[in-house]
Amino acid sequence: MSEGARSGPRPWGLRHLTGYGPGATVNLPYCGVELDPVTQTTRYRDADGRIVTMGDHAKTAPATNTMEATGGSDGRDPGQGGAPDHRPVTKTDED
Amino acid sequence: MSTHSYGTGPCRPVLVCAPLGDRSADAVIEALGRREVPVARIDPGVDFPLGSTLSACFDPGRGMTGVLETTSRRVLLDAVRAVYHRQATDYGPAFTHLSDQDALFAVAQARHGLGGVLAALPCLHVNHPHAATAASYKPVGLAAALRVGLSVPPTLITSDPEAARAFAKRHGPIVYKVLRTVRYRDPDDRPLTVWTTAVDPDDIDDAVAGTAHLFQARVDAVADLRVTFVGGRMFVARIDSGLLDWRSDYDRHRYDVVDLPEPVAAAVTRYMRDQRLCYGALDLAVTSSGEHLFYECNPLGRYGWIEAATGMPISAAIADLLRNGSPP
Repeated sequence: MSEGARSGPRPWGLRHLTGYGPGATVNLPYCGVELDPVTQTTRYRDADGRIVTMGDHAKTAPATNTMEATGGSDGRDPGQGGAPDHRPVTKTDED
Repeated sequence: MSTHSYGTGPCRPVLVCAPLGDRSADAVIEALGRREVPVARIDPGVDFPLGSTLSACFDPGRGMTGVLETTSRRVLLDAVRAVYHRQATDYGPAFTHLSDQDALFAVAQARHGLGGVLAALPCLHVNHPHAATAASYKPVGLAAALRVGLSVPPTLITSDPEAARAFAKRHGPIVYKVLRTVRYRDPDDRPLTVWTTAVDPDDIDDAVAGTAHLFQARVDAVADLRVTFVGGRMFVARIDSGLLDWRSDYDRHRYDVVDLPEPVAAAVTRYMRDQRLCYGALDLAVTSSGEHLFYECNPLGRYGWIEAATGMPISAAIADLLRNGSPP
């Protein structure tokens, strides 16, 4: 098929886009992540390079919260997105 | 830094494919540690090939053998006890130094090379990535649900505005749901989403022809259920929120741990077997007449928040499943 211009309506579903609402975006208390070579868990560091204790799994964000990293994402993007980018981290559940 | 090397026997490791910062992966890894099960972690889309090396051989009589080596672990492929696939980063970020065409090539080779070897590991996968991908399509899930005897609200997937109007007339009130959550950002870079939305039939117009849309009869629900299925165990939370889409405001949730009626639990088990899943986050509705309706099953659904809110030991159950290396 040729690469001629396509036309068609903007999808109806896009009219229902909305923000996540207040409280859905949380500032993560760390700037960088690295692998703990002994435990294989994540080690978190703040802006000054100090190790941050994340506490209980219980503080995990809900299914559809967005999570914006405070200091960039060091290029890692844990979501399901395609193209890599260096914008703040956003996590969305697959519903 | 020392490299731990794992062979066969009781030291058989669980391979965890997850991004750094995934709290659920961390919780499961900690639980495996308490069970003295060795773990090797990799995020293939990020860590390969710069932070890891793969060699897999295929020989008559021996099948697939080889080594996956990360910066801190050396794993014999035929020794892997189980693989935990926890929302690993899609292939791509490891090749941003290449031109577009070169990156396309490298990404495809990595996905089919490392990703293919991981998929071919003859052990328990929670979940197998191919099964998870297939089951993540809502039409696949709805068809499977009907096949195993779960009740599903009347649903239409269409690009035909006339069909949408006719559906609204027959089954109204109706709601709109996305077929797939995508990342969307407004001009100020704020993330946007689409919740389950009530549809006014007068708003249905030719824009429905712009792509595929999913419409569903609005369920007369008195509560929602989140069923977290782990290798045959079901952790069921009733969510009272008064919301059309409970994801839109977690502050309004009240949770109660409940049991599924036996016939519904049996159908859920059949669904998971049909879809070749041993983990899933299922969303159901309970109607005023007590009927249970299936919305969807997310094979990658997060569970940390519901474990926290209810105390249901889901991380431990996943760790037990991985330790045993086979579904119970």
